[in-house]
This record gives sequence, C-alpha cells and structure tokens, in this order.
Amino acid sequence: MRTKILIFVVLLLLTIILSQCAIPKPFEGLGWNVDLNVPLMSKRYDIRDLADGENLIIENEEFKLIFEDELETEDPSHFLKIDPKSTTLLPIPPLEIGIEIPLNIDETGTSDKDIDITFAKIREGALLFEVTEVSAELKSLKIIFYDIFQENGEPVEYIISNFSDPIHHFPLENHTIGIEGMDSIFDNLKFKVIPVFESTELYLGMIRIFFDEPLWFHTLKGRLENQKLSLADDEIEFSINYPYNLSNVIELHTAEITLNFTNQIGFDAVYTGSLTAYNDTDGKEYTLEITEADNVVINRASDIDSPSNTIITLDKPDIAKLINVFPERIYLHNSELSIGNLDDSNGFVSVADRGVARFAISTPAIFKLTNEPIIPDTVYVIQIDEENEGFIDEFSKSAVLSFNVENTLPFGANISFYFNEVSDTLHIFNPEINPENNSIVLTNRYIYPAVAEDIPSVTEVDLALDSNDLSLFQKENVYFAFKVSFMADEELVALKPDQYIKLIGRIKLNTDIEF
Amino acid sequence: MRLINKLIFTILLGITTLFAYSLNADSAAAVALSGSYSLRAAGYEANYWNPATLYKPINRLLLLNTNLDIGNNLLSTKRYNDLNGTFLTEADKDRILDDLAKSFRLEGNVTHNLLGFAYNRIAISSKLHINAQGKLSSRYFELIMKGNEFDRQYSFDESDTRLSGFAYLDLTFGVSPYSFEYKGVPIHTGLALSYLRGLASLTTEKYKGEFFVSNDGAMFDQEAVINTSLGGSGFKAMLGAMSQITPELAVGLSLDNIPGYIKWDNEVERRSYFASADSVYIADLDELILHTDEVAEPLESFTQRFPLISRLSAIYQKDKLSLSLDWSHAYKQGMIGDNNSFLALGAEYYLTRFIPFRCGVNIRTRDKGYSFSYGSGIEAGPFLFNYGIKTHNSIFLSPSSNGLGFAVTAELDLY
Repeated sequence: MRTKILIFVVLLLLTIILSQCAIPKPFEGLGWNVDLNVPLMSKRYDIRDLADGENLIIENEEFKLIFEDELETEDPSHFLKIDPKSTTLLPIPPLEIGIEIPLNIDETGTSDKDIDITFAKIREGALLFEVTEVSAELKSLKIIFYDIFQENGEPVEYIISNFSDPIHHFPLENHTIGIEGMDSIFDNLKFKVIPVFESTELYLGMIRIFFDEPLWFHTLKGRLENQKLSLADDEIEFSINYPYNLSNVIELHTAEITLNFTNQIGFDAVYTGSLTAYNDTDGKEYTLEITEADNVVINRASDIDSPSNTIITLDKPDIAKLINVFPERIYLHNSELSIGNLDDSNGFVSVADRGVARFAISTPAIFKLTNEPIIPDTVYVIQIDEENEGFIDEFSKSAVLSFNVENTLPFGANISFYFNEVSDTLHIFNPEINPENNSIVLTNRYIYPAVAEDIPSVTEVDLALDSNDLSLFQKENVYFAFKVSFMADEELVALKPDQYIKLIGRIKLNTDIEF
Repeated sequence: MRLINKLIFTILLGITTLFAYSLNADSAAAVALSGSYSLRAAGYEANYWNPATLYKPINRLLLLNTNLDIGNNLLSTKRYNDLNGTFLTEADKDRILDDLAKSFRLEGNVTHNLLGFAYNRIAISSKLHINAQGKLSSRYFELIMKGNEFDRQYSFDESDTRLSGFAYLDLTFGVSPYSFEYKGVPIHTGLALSYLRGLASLTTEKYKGEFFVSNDGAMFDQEAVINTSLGGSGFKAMLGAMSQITPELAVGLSLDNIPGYIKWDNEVERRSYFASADSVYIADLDELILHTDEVAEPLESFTQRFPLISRLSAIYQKDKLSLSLDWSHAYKQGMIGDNNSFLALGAEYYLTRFIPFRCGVNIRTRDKGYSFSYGSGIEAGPFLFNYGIKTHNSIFLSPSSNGLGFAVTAELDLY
C-alpha cells in the first residue's frame, strides 16, 4: 500500500513540476498605431437654395437675379388748375335782355403745357365781379352762369344789388365747369349780365368778370398736354451678401427691366428716369437713363374706377451693365411722367389719382466668368472639444484630409482652403501677417466642371497634415475659409436650380492608441 | 491609467489565461484522456458517453466528481507577458487576429456529479452543468487595432458575437438492455434517457451589428435580443452500440441528443436593445440623432436544443496499455452546449496494477485548437481516486498554454 501511495505522489509531483505555473505580470500598458477613417462633413450646396424669394428667384426652372421697387407718383393737383387771364372792363348797356360776357380760360399758347376742359370740378377758387362807374339808376345786376353749375347740376345765378364795394366775390368751391358727359371744350366761360334799371342812359356802369388766383380743380376732364408728374425718389437696399469681388468675376449676359405701371389717371403718360446701382463693397456704380427715346408709354385708365395696367419690358444692353455692378442698393431718381393725350379722345384726372410704378430688374443667370478670385465672406468653424484636443495632442501623428467634390456646375474652379486659429479673414487669407498663428493653406486645387448636364464630375482633393499641422487642431476652434477662381473662357454658362456642389470631407487620422 | 484599473485588468487577464479552454470534460479520467473515453466510460459514466458499455459488470458508486474549466482562445500567460508594456507591431496585430480566427471567445464550464450509481447493466446518475460563454467578433479587434477602412461594411451577428449562459441538472437513466452476436461477434446496445431540469438561462437570440464609414458619413446599427429564464425542463436521449471484436479491440458508436432540448418556461423574458445612427459627421455632431431603445417583454417560453452528436470510437487494449480513438461530430453549430467536433486520442498505462498513467490529445476541427491532457489515479481497495489536467496549445501546462482543465473523481467499487 505504501508503494502505491509513493508512486501516486511521485506522479502528482511530476505533474506539478511539469506544469510550469506562470503568473501574469502586472499590467504595464499596451499601445499600437492605427489609421482611423473619420467622416468630417458632407455639405451639398444646391443652387436652388440660393433662391431667397426676393432677389434671387426661380422662374420656370431658370435662376434669376431680380431687384424690385415700387414708386408712386406725386399728387397731380399742382397742374389741375387754370391760371388767371387778363380781362377788361366792359360797359353795361341798358338792355333788359342783358349782355353775354365770356371769360377766357384757354391755356393755349401760354406755356408748353396745355389744358382743355370739358368738365372740371372746382376745388378752390373764386370769380370776381368788378362793377365800377355805376349809374344811380342801376338797381341791380343779375348774372347768369352759363357754364358753371352747382354741385347738384343746378344753374348758378348771382345778383349784385349793393354797389358800394366794386369787387364782388363769388366762391366756386364744389362748383363745376360744364356738365359731366359733355365733350365740348371750354375755351371761355360764358356769363349773361342782366341789369335792372330805371332810365335809358347810354350805359349803366362798367363790369369785369375775372379771377385773380388760379382755379384749382378737384377733377378735370378734357385734354392735357405735357403735364409733368414726378415720382418720389427712392433707394432700395438688397439683402444679398455677395462674395467679395463677385462683380469682377461674373459678367451677366443679359438683363431686362419690367415696368408694371398701374395708372388711375385717365391720360396717357411717358416715363423717364434714372437708376443708379451701387456696389459699395467693390466700389462700383453705374447709372442707367431711361429717356423718352425708350418710349415707355403708360396707358390711361379707362374710367375712374378702372385703373390701367401697363407692362413694359426694356432690354437694352445698358441694363446688363447696371446689373453687373451686382448692386447692393439701387437709387431711382429723376423719375417723371409726362401726362397728356396721345390721341383725340378726352381724358380725366383728379387730385386723388396716382400712378404706381413697379420696377423689376431681372437677369437670367447666364454669364461669362473671369479669372478673378471670388471670396465668400463666410468663415466656417470646427469646434474641437477638450477630449479630442488632448487626443490629437498626445496620440495623433499625421492625418490626411480628403475632400471629395461633386460638381454639376458647367465650369471648373480652383479652390484654395485656408485654416487658421483666428477667425478674421484678414489673418485667415494672409497667414504670413502673424506666423505665430497656426495655419494651413491648401492652394489652387482644381475642381472639374460637370461631365455633362446631368453627370457631375467628382474631384478628390487630399491634404496631408504632419504633426505640426495637427497642432492647429489642438485649438478649441479652428476656422477655415476658401477662395474660388473660375476657369474663364468666352463661353456663356447658365446656373440652373438643379445644379449643385457637394463637398464631402473625411480625415484619415494616423494615431497611437495607448493604455 | 490609474493603479486600480491596472490591477483589475491584470486580474481579469490572469483569470482568463490561467484556466483552460476545454472540451465539455467529464470525469478526471475523461479529462486525462482528452475525451477519448467513449469505450472507457464504465458504470454510471456510460450514461454520458455510450450506454452500451453498461453491459460490463462494473458496479460503482460515485463519491465525488467535479470538473472546472475556464478559458479563452487568445491570451496565454506568455503572450500576455510578452505583449504587456509593448507597442504592438503590425506583425503582432496580424498574429493576434490570425489566432482569434472568427471571434474572441471566453468560456467557462463547471460540472459536478450529484449522483452516480451503476449496477448490473443499469445506471442512474445526476449532474449539475453550468456553462457560460461570450464571443466577440474578431472584426471588433480588427477595428480597434487596425482602424477602419473607408467604404467597407463591418457586420456582426450572433454567430460571432454573443453572450450565453445556462445551468441545468440532469437525471439520467441508462441501460444496456440487449446484447447479441452477429457473425460470431458480440454486439451490445445501450440507451440513456435524461430528464433535464433547467435552472437558469441567458441566450442571445439575435445580435446584429453594422458599422460603415463612407461618403454618406458614419453609420452604425446595433440590435441585441437576449432571452432569460429562471426555469424549465427538457429531455434528451442517447443510443449506443459497441462490439468487442477481438479480446484486444473494441469499437463503438453512440448518438447523443436524439432529441435533446430544454424548454424554458419560468419567468421568461425577452429583452431587446437597439442603438443606431447614420450620416454622422464630426462637423455635425450637434445634429447627431442617436436612436436608442430598450424593450422588455414577457415570453411564454423558448426552447434551446442540443445538437445531435455522433461518436465513433475504438479502443485497443493489450496488457497494461490501452490506446483509444474517438471521433465526435456535432451536426449543428450555435446551439446550447459544446458544439465542437473533435478527434481524440488517449493512452492509458498501468504503472502498477492500481496506478494508471493517462495522457491524451484532442484536436478540434472547428477552431483548429488542440489540447493535451494527462492524469493519474490510485485504486486503494474499493476506493478509486483520479485526477486529470488538460492544457490548451501546449504539451504541458506552461506560460504558452491558453488554459487549464482540471477534474477530480472519487468512486467506490461495489464488489
């Protein structure tokens, strides 16, 4: 039995000896190097998204720059008048049937502006009757107004029986000249003066009918010639933030002005005026004159309650010059309507009538490009949290920034990327100003134009970063901006809403992992 | 890293590397012979290997049988010590990934016989089985160590990433009811029927993981469905046959798990976890929308099935030496229990009439792993005491070994 136990124990010991028990060492750390592919960003810039519904619109799937403004004519009351004319005293004969006296209101020849009245409602003014050298036998004068009526259409009579004061004043407010519906023009206002007397003297006195202040009308019907009606000056500012130097980069091919005029005035009009476009950023301005030669004729209203609507499109080449300023504001000035009759029919106007002009300057996004750089004023920021700052600081060795650019635009471009630890564009685009700032510049990476209308080009742009470059990404914020230079040629290119540029960025980060 | 973290990490690594990655080992002798044990299992042990061997007149009572093994398929103590404190080279990474094959596996098995008794071609036994295993796809390691490739989809599923564990008791009745001769060769048959009492289970019903980095950003999608239960019952059956062709040579065949299942129906719950995000870019992290959800729902039951296993075996015995060969094949993977197929060779030599020396080698076909084992025992009167040690990827237990299996058995012969 002892032998058995001895052999068993020997075998057991042999097993233990053969079993080289090993104890793991305390953990001292472990590290390795690894390449991490990390998606950085994906931004698709759709041309359609540029439309702001205000200055950049899409119309029939075409992209348009559009600038709109609205001007209103001034009150036309300043020309709704007739001026006093010279008159003379006439004897009052002792005739019971009286005499007819005309009062000249014909403006013909008094200036280059003419007014022929078929009907007018008087807003302000008065007739004066001067009666002098009155005989004692003259008891009274009855004056019948042939052409002037009360507001209700009743004829007007005026009796003068007190001759102590030679001047007699008859207010004409709310009286009318003529009756609505009559087409004959009043060159004179006719009056009949009937004396009441007791003898047969040769004359009973002298009389003059006149007005020494203009007769102002509320409403006038008839004919007008060359009456001027100004539109108030206006300056409109646009909310578009053009990239710096855009006006030197893009030359728009065509542009047109659409004038949509709503006219309450029953006379035709010809518009003239000036538009001055300013691009203060690029220091440019251009003035476009719209003259009578452009023949911007605005139709008259057909009746008092039916204003006319006239749409006129101007497409002369100078409009493209105006729009190529890429205006930040447009000043509309010296705008004027020449009011008048372009045919034999009578017109109408009242003090409340206005004309409203809506300007729309539009240009299809068809243009030529120059080699000048375009500089978007947007500065992008990449925020890096403390944990990642520490990770980059401690472990990252190198990285490759890759941008995949998908382009459906029909033109290529050179893009330069600028990364900096400061946010102002002066330092971003000019890192040499302060070399102590961490910066990375990636210049002139060519982006191919679209292969065909519906086939985008795909361009890969790589930027290798060493550990020095990566130190930039240990900052809390990394700012980047870019410049774009298009590849100019004489071909016209068109922006369409379906076009886009897609920018996909990723980082291949070579890093040490250590525990 | 803080000292406490280093300490925990060291302890965990130590545990996983010190213990073995093993077969579903059984008695000490079975461990010592690397599982080449189908025709050696005698008495109540035949219930788990080939019940046809119950025809042998071995009447034996179990006193103690405990087996324990824990291990992984990656780290040995030596590899850990070699890598500890170093900076991994590309060759190091490649070796690690090669060794991982499909996934990193961590597994633990405990079996403990509660009852074992054999008498006159009949055996009754009962055993507690506890198994826990976790798998993590090697692609996770590849991602961590080599980084990710652009435009490559990394996919994971429950075949390479899962967590499971279960504990059950069996009560097995085995019998060798019938022996006959065919052309003068004796053939013995056997049948073992087991009632299985499930104690606890955690299974990964589904795991789906996807990770993809492309121009469309980073995308990940994780879904895990885990079933748990605190009780169930099941059944399994084993058929066996063997023949002593010559006095020295015997061959055998057994079919296990026909059928074999546990239906878990007590406090059953399915927990689903979801997390996903797509189009993730660093510049837009503030816009990241991370979808997460956790859903717990009661289940009536779920059933875990054991794979059908066939065991072909042969043994040659001459005097004090016996040599055996077992080919065990599991017909379906990814099921409960040990689903590996293996080829095992075992040798036993009696140094004296009562002291055997055993050794074996086991070659696993699925993960190309291998193990060596050895052990001994002593027969003191009616008492039998055996022990077995198994080591993975090393002839002896050494720092190069991935782990250790250990079993002790004490029995009483009823003669």
